Amino acid sequence: MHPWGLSGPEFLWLYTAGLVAGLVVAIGARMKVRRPRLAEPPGHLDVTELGFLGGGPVNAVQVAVARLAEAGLVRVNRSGQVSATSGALSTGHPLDDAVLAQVTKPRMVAAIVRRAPVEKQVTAIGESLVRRGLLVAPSAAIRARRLGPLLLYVVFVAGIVRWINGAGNYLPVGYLTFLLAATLIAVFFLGSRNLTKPKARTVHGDRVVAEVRRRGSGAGQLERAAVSGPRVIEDKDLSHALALAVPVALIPVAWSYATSGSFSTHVPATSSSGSSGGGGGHSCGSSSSSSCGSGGSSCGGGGGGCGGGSG
Amino acid sequence: MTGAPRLGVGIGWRPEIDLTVEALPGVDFVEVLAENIHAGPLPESLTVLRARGVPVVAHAVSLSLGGAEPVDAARVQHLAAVAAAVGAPLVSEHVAFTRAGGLDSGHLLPVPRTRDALNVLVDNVRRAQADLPVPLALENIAAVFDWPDNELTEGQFLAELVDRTGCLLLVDVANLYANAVNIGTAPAVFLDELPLERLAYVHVAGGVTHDGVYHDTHAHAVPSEVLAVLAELCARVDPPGVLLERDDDYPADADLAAELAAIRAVAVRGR
Repeated sequence: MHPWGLSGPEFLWLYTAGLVAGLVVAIGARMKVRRPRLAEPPGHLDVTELGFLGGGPVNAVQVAVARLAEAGLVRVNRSGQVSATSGALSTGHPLDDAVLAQVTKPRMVAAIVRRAPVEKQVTAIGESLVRRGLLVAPSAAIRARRLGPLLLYVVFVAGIVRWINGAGNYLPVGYLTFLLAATLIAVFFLGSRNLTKPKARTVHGDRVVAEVRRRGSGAGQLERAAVSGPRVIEDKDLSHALALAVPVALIPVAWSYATSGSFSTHVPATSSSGSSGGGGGHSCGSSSSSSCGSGGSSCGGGGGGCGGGSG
Repeated sequence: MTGAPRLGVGIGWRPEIDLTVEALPGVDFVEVLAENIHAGPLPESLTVLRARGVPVVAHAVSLSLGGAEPVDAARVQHLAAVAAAVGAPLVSEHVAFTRAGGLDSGHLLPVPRTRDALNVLVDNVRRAQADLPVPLALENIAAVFDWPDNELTEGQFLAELVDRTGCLLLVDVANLYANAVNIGTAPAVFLDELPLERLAYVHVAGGVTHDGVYHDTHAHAVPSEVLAVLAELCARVDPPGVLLERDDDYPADADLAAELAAIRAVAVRGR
């Protein structure tokens, strides 16, 4: 009598089908979350919104500071401190205004991004980008990562029970052992946040960033800083002050959805060893999943594409 | 000409505006606050300015030369070390006291203008001069009050101080204007009494009037009245240097450049 009324080969075929279905569901969930249906075109993006899209929350603040500096409303010094010039008034940009209010005394960009009123405006930008289908909502990203492989877990548990049952009855379990191992590897890869956390940008967001990158020097300096980081800013002192905001390798961690599930601009004290989305050089903006893993040259805050890790 | 080194038009160097000071047009020299500088490795900005040949004057605020106690040798040594580190052509300090009986006022307080107080001040200035590698210029302060029973006018007091110590003069026209508004000093009389041939340079700063009292804030634009006092001084002497002091609420680079240009225009007109 076969256990559960299924012969060994029958169970293996069923298990394989379940494994394939589980993989399709898990991978599909990850892909789907990055492909929301757009009710309408995303429309014009302010450079700080583009900065968030291109490099995360810290980059949005960096772009705001750069815009304020261009307008002569703030200055930087050799220590990288930003301070408002006297009489600087409202700019009409909520994030810029929030930054301006924090630099009546000199502050480093790293400190500015942690100020509550600044965080509030950055969060509002992130939420707006989610509403417009350009960013994956942090909660949706985490749901995709956690629930996507659910069917694989069920299949795996069924396989384990069968294996114990079979081994206990001295039935051959070699092929099943192999399939279980394969399932375990798939679950590990799909469930591991370090290797498989979903990209923060949706494909629509990728398209917007890629379009600005394609324009190259045809785009304004602030737009280029938004998608490529503050290193492209010609004023080297300003560029330096902005780059001091956060060690470059931490930027993706700072807005990774994997840990916080929010748009927090808080930067962990140390980078987790597994967050491989670090500086990926020019490849940061690419949607290729393999391009973000390596360290390499800095993304200067523009490495947002890597922020969510490899897609 | 007064015999002091030619400095031109300058601005107070502050860490908050280091890049601005480096980039501003028409900055012939700068002044650093000695108390804010370590005599060791200089801030990079000062090294950059020095490499360009921009003179750096060291300015002190805490020697308390007008105090009853002997001047603090350690503070003088620090000023001397900063002067040496920045290659200062001269250093400056105020005719004031900041400490008494072990207490630090945190403010520049006026010295009673009596013979006795002058003797004490002269002794302290001579002690300081002995330890300084470069000439010392002394500055008139903005007094918040005047001592009763002054024996000398401020101009006479400073003239005698210069005569007895050989020090140079740093005339702060904003302080002079503040004293005119607040305690009734007549700037023209003051300037007439000074040995302006000993003038090293001039301080210009902004302030604001509240309820009839002029506050020498160094955080507001330079009012036209202060420039008028500068013009009155420039009509008497061609100052070797004129320096804009700004210590807070720094305006945009263009506004600072405009203030420097306005100061230069007044100085040039007086020649």
